[in-house]
Amino acid sequence: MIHITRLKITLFTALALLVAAAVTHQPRTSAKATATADLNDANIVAIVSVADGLDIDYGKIALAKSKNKAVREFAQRMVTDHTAVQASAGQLAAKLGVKPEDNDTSKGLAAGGVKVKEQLNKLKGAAFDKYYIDNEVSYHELVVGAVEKTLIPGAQNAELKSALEGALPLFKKHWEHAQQIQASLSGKKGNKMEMKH
Amino acid sequence: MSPRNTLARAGTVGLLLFAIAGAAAWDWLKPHQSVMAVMAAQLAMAAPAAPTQKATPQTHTVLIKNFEFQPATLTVKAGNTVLWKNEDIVPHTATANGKRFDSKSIESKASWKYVASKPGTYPYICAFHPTMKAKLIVQ
Repeated sequence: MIHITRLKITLFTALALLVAAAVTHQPRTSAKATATADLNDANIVAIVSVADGLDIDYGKIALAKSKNKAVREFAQRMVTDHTAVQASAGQLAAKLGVKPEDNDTSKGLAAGGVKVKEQLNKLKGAAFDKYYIDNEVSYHELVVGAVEKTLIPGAQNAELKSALEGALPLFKKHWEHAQQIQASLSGKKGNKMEMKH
Repeated sequence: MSPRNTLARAGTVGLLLFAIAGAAAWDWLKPHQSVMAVMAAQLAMAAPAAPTQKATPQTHTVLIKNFEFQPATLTVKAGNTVLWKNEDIVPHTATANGKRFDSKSIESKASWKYVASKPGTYPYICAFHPTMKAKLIVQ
């Protein structure tokens, strides 16, 4: 259990870079004295692509391993929705002529993802479901924060900015959905109450 | 002068004023009377047209946009059609509690039609994103 906690800390650190980058690095030009990072649009596209790709990977592992209906349905949704986001982000990047450019944040994310995947490949049964869903909750929480606080304010191109704004509700609803399943896995029936009349 | 007399005088004055005001109002209305007559006739003519309106029920649209049903509560008359239009880049559903209606997957940029025939209140969700919630009221 200790190494799982350590992995989570690693992931958190990697993801926190998304937010931290905005705070620690001030833009060189004083003209844009906002709290946005040194990230350019090419960096932002790379971050979105890595973050999306990781969630698709996690979902595919869950579809291959989990036997829990709610977890499987959620995983399928992550694969479907994030694949749609990937496609639309790719189309937009091509249209704007932006080539994804790796940076510390995207690299940190990818490194954190490798560790999560190792763990997902190792665990089984209920322990797998719990780890997958717990990670989905914290992952989406951090992605929501990063998109809201770093990527949207940092985007230079108006179309990229509005695409990120458009994607935000998707990340938020995934986060809420993951929390709903997390509650049901831990025995609290939670949101199931609302399905009744 | 006794208080009784005062009251009577006040009453007479009041009546007089009322009569003058009434006459003035009647005079003002006179030029408009023909218009009012036409309007009344039109209303009477419109009445027989009502059954044809019933024969073509209304269609109401619910937009599925930014992971929300818009409007969140829609009230329609029994027999009306509800059209859900998915404007997001991912598929959604409109699924009523107890599956009293269920669109199944509505792909991006596609839509789904439902004839709301039975009165009642139908809370529904997107089965893919269950925290998306809305309500259809059929009267």
